[in-house]
Order: sequence, then C-alpha cells, then structure tokens
Amino acid sequence: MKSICSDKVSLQCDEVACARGGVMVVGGVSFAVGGGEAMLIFGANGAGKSSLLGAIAGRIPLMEGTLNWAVNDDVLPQRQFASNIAMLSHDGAIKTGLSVEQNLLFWCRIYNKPRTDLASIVERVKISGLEHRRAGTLSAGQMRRLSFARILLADRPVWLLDEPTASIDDGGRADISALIGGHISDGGLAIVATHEALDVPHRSLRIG
Amino acid sequence: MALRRIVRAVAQRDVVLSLAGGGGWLQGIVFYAVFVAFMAFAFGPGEDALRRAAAPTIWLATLFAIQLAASEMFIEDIQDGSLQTLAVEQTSLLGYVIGKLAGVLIIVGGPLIVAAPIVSIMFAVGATNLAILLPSVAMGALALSLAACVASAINAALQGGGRFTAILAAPLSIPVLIFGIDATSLAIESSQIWSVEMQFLTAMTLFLMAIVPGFSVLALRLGLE
Repeated sequence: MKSICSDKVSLQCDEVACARGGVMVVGGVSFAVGGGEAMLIFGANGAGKSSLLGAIAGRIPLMEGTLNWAVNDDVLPQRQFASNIAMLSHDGAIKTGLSVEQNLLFWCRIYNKPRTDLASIVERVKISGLEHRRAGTLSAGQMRRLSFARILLADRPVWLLDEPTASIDDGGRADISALIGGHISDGGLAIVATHEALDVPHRSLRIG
Repeated sequence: MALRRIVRAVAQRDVVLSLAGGGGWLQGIVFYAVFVAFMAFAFGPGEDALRRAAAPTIWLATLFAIQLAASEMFIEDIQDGSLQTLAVEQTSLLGYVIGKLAGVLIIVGGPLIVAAPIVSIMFAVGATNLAILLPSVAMGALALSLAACVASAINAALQGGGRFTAILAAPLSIPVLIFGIDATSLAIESSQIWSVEMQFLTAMTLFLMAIVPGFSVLALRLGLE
C-alpha cells in the first residue's frame, strides 16, 4: 500500500475551550502534535474527552482558543483539512441490518476505494469469516473491530478515535494498539480519547 | 464524480437496508393499500361518487404513505453515528441528502406507482384513464417526498424524533395537495394532462427540488453541533 502520509500533517491547539448545551465542559487545553505521533487524551467519565475530540474534528464549535490544522506547515481551514481525517466516534456508524460486508462496501463507495481492499482489512482487524454475518448479531467487541475496519479503509493520515477499545478484550486492545502503532510509524497522526493505557509510543494529555 | 458516487452509495445502501430489514419497504405500500381500500368502502358502491373521490383519495394516501416512510429518514443515521462520521470527514452532505431522497423515491414511490392500476379499478376510473392519471401522481410523489425530506431534516435537528414532521411539512405539502388533486381530477374527468394545475404542480416541484436539498443540509449541520 502506498504511503498516505507523504505530506506532513500537524495540529496546534491554543487555550481551547468548548461547551455542551451552554455549559463549559473542557477549557484551557493547549498542545501541538504532528505526523508520526500519537496523543492519548486521558480523563475520567465526563471529563470532556469526547467533546474535545469533537472540537478537534470540527463538529463542536470552540468557545475560546484556536485550533489550527496544517499540511506541510500551511494552515488550512477545518473544512478544507477535513478530508484528511478518519473519525471513529462513540457510535460506530454501523448499520445493524446489513451484513459486515455490506457495511464495508458502503464505506468503500463513500471513500472511493476498490472492494478488493476489503479482504486484507477484514483480516487486519481480525473479523475474517464474519463477512456474511448480519452486523446486528456481532458481539460488542466484534462491532468495535468492524468500525475500526472503516478507519483503515478510509486510508487517511489523521485518525481521531473515541474510545477505540471500548468493549474490546485484552487481545483486541493489543491488536488496536498495534494498528495505531503501525499508523504512526507510517507518519500518520492519531489522537485517541481513552480511559485505558494503550501500548503505543505516545504523548499524554490529561483533562478534567 | 464525487457527488454522484455518494448519491449512489447512500441510495443503494438504503434500498438494500429496507429490503433486508424485515420488509421495511412494505410499510408505505401496505398503508397505502389499506387506506385506499377503506376509502372505497367508505364512499360506497355508487360509481359517480367513487370517481369523484378517486383523486383526493389517491393523493391523501400518497401523502400519508410518504410521510410515514420519510418522517424518520435521518434519525437512524444520526443515532448510529453514520451522519456524524460523514459530516466530520467532509463527505458531501448534499450528495447524502439527494441519496436519501432517491432511496425514499425508490422504496416508497416505486410501489405506489405499481399500486396505481389497482386503485383505478377500485375507484371505477378505468384503464384508459390510468396513463393520464399517472404523471400527476408521480409528480406529486416527488414533491411530497421533497417536502417530507426538509421537514424531517429540521425535525432531526430539533431532536424531535419524527413527531413534528407532519406539521413541519404542512406548509409545503398543502399547496402541492390542492393543485395536485385538481390536476388529477382534471386528468380523470376530461383527459387533460398538461392542465394549468399540472403546470403549477410542476413549478412547485421544481421549486422544491431547487431549495430542499440545500436547506436539508443546513438543518442537518445545525443539528450535529
């Protein structure tokens, strides 16, 4: 697979604060990360991890501060940069009524990737053999792996992951860590909201 | 082209989903059939009365069937995070909305067109008038789907869960209904297809086609914040 990270991406956050429903949930966050790095955002439940990730993704407007994405040191507006982002949200964007394969085929079309990519991706997230199962019949951990397959399929330099290891067992955590590790060693950038440590070289941001 | 690719992907997924999901596609057409049959009994066996009732019945049945199917067209994608993902990753939401609309037209509109001959028999319209009646009904299904689409998007943004779609769509669907029923009645009574009413209906449909996708995207974006 060709490298998707030939351009250097980076993110600079200064004194960022964001609110949910008019109440400030996280404030005064500053950091800078670039390609080849993983940053884990730690915090208790309700500390604002998901909100911060939502703000980084451009989904939640900032209350204060600035947030700048850059490609090769050229700062780009969020809307222009966003085609570099692959986002794993809390809900995995899975249609339970469709099979594993049909779910991934939909995203293949959205990302304009050939369906021949699927076999290797399904193997990398270790759900091979389940392609024809209805997604609604998968276990919670298998569902999470299926949503992670979409991140690999998107093939984008920036990964924003919200609790990627939720309901995943120890072996799965190691698998996900390895995938994130592989991504950053390819020059990608990963920002991960998590409440448990992952086995990847990373920088930490504690909030709340 | 990117837009076309996304329209196709979304429409195709929704059609497959409705076929796979325990007959979801049947919901609209079953309602339509039941409503039309009950109305036929309600108006009794007099052929004149039935013929006069044909156009209003077809239109109301179409309106309700579409609203039933379209009132929650965005809710599921919001709940399972699909829409959020598409928006964050800067997929064309315009393509997404057009794809959803195409899905509704295929899933609900298709069966409605197939059902039209049965209705024309029940209401003593006669097979010869069927071809004349179809253009106005098809145009109406398109206009009503557009009205339901924007109402459903606003409703989803307000997190109303489909409860207010019928009310929100009313200002758009009432004029469509008024001119549509007239156009269909004229088609049945005097075999006039391209009547003034039909021209007005077409104009309204074109207007809705122009504004609905954009406004729906706006509403959905607001709702995602």
